[in-house]
Amino acid sequence: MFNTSFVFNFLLQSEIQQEWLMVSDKVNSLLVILLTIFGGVIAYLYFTGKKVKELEAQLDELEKN
Amino acid sequence: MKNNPILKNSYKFLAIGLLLYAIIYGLVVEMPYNPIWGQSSRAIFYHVPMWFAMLVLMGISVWHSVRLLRALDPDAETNLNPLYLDIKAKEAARVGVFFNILGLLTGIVWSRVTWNENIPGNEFAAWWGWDPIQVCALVSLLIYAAYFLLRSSFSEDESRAKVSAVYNIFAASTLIPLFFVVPRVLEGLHPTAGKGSFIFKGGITTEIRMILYPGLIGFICLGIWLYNLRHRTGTLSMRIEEMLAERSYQKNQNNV
Repeated sequence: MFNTSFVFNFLLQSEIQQEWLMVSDKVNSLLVILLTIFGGVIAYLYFTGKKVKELEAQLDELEKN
Repeated sequence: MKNNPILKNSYKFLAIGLLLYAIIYGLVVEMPYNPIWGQSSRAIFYHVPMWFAMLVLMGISVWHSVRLLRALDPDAETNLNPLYLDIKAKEAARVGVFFNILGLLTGIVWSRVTWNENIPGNEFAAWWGWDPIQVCALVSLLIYAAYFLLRSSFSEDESRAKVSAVYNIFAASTLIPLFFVVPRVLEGLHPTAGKGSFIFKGGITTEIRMILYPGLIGFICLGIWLYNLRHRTGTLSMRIEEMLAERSYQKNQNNV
């Protein structure tokens, strides 16, 4: 399950993360934004694609029997 | 068009091409210098399209909900299956919510290093500034979360499809004040707040527009791609359920 205390602790430590986000004229924050979007999209495509393959295999099996 | 794989997948090629263009050109283009924004100003090419993709997907979702309600009309001369339309509406809303979450997350990171740069890190406001547009985006997310909760409360397919289609029309109509009216009226931290415009009318160069607008189309095409994939999982699950139900019925009949 998703651990909410982890998020809370993560936010409490944000002083360090803020410094990190500011590195190289705030380039790191841009990298985080890009990673969030494309990481999210790739994960979404991967898991949905995997589910489609599983369902297609299940349907093929049902049609064969 | 359905038989031509190149035309059928053209929006996928368009998504990949335009997104690569927006990423590469967006990272190398010379941006107007702003000490508060720094290099994070380039996030405009990636954060803003999230909302446009979300709005298009919610539009697709409500379109299918309207078609569903018309298909349920006993006088309507249509052979559309309302349950397939329900799957289409649900999956489009699901991908729309995904873009809404991405937009909120990227907005939180961006606001942390621009608006809330000087707020101590352990204060909640350092991450969430209660900007009117930010709040409206969160409200729209909660409205769609209620749509999925409502769906899960029905066990009968047709009732679920009918009630959730009506709710979906309400949910989509709330996007108009939340995204087009409130940002025009209320002052806030967003550059467009209170300026009478949802889209940037001034302050950005033609070069920036040359990246922003193709990026918008790229993300919208990506959203449609994700929606088609999700829609496929929905229809496959439905076919499997139908086949299993049919077999179970035949088995029972044979036993009788």
